[in-house]
Amino acid sequence: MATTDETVLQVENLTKIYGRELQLGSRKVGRRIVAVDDASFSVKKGEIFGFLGPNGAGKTTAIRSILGYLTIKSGTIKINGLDYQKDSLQIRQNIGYIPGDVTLYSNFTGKELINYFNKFRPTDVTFLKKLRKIFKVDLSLKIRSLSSGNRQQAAIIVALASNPNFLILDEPSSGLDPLMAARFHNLLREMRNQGKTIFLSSHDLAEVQAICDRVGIIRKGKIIVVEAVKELRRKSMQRLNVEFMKGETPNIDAIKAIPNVISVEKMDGTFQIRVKEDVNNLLKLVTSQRIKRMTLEDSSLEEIFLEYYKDEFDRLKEE
Amino acid sequence: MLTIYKKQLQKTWLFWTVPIALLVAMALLLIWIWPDYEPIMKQFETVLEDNPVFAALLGEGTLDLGISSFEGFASVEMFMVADIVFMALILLFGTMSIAREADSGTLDIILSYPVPRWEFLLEKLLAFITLTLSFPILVWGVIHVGAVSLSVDFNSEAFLLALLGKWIVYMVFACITLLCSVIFMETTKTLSSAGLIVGGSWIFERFGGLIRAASEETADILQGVSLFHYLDGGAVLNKLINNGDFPVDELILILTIGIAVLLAALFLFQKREFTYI
Repeated sequence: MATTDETVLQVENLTKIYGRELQLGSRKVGRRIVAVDDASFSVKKGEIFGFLGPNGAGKTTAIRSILGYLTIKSGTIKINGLDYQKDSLQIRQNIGYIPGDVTLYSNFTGKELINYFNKFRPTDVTFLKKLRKIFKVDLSLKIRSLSSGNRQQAAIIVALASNPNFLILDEPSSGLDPLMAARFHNLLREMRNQGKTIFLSSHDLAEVQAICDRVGIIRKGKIIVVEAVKELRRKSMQRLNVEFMKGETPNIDAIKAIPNVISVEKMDGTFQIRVKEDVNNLLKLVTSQRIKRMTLEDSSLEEIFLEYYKDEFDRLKEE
Repeated sequence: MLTIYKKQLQKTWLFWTVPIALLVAMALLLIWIWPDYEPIMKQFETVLEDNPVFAALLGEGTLDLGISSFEGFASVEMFMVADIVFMALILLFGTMSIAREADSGTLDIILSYPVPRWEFLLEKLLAFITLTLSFPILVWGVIHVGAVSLSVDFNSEAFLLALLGKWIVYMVFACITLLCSVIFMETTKTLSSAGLIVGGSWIFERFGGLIRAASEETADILQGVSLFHYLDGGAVLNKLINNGDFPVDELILILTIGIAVLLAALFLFQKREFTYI
């Protein structure tokens, strides 16, 4: 990993509000939406930073603010020490951006698009050759004639053709088949190892877990956690799967009574025990009986994510 | 430099020039039928003089210029159709330049590259100006060559200036629709607002001419607020042929409005945020 202490993106106390609410007598008119609320995080050079949150959490607003498309109410955004608005042109010399639900000029071929954008940000010919080997899309065809997956591949090639130092990717692998997605992930890892910085917003938690070094989780516009993926998994719940020998009758009540134990479930003869932080007391109790099989796993990012969104998840289940 | 301009020329020339080609074809037709029409138009002019309402329906100033002259005949036909064609082109230009790019998401991509926003807008407008300049040049060229070859008595220079004046008005309208596009950044709202301004302006001018016989004052008010009233093709031709004067005051007014609107659009586009909610 090529991560250094050099900060590429620094977001401090970012607040973005859409709309306005006016008080007319006793009536409130208009609508005010706090899309991003006092968000702070940083992305270091040479890391892949995952930005997680469900639809409407404020991910795209944060990305659009970073790109200077939106005017923020308060806070600062700096990219390589440069102000996101004042130095916008200079910043954009070295940013590759793939928006969610990407649309390219449909009457252009892939090659024409690359040549067109090359005038604004020169193409790295060697890197372009590499991209064309990885992605199998025919760039001589008009964009309108490509399937959605191939359009996505073309968008990736076009955005990365200049081999930019900082990538902002909003759901970049949506539409890619699993093979192409895996190739794309390898490419991102390789770019990261070469010192490129990648800011990746995604719904695909497996993708984030597989390639990101750190993640930031956003909820209702607020950043609720920023942590290294490994650390986050280590600090979060662990799952102990235990299958007892025949004849053994584990004391479930005693297990549940251990303070760190969150839940105990039995599935197909195996007990799944969720435990947070210290597992020693649990292990002592469980191993007091004869065990056929036992594994201890960290939570997946998906479980961690659902943990942060537990109340909303529960509400959805009730509905 | 001028990358967007060149791309616009390359990718949109056919779209913008086909309607203009139709106007050129119409110019060819006008010059071709003129020898047969010339004797009838004298009688028609007499009919119009006796019935000013008919003349008003054809457009104000028809009688001043005289429809029995080739300039009069060509200007009445050409400018009426050109107004309709250009109204459609102008609305499409304004909508496609910004609002449609914002709607489709391509604006987000192009502006993630180091392109100043004002330059993006200006180069698009310049491409439209370049392509539509074919209207006065080609129509004049066709009519000029036709008139010379058929030995038709025709004030070529006056007709060119009238065409250019009209085209300048169209370009000012293009700036107005661009401003609407920048303000709303949405296809439907841009089309509605720009359509209201452009279409309303045309209706005011035509309706003003129609009711002049009934109320001079109302006609002046209606036409005074309509940009179509200024540098009007027939009126410019009339002034040039009868007095030899080009309405410079109208040109200055129209250019001032156009430049002010364009600067407002460039400034707003540079400063505004791209919110789609």
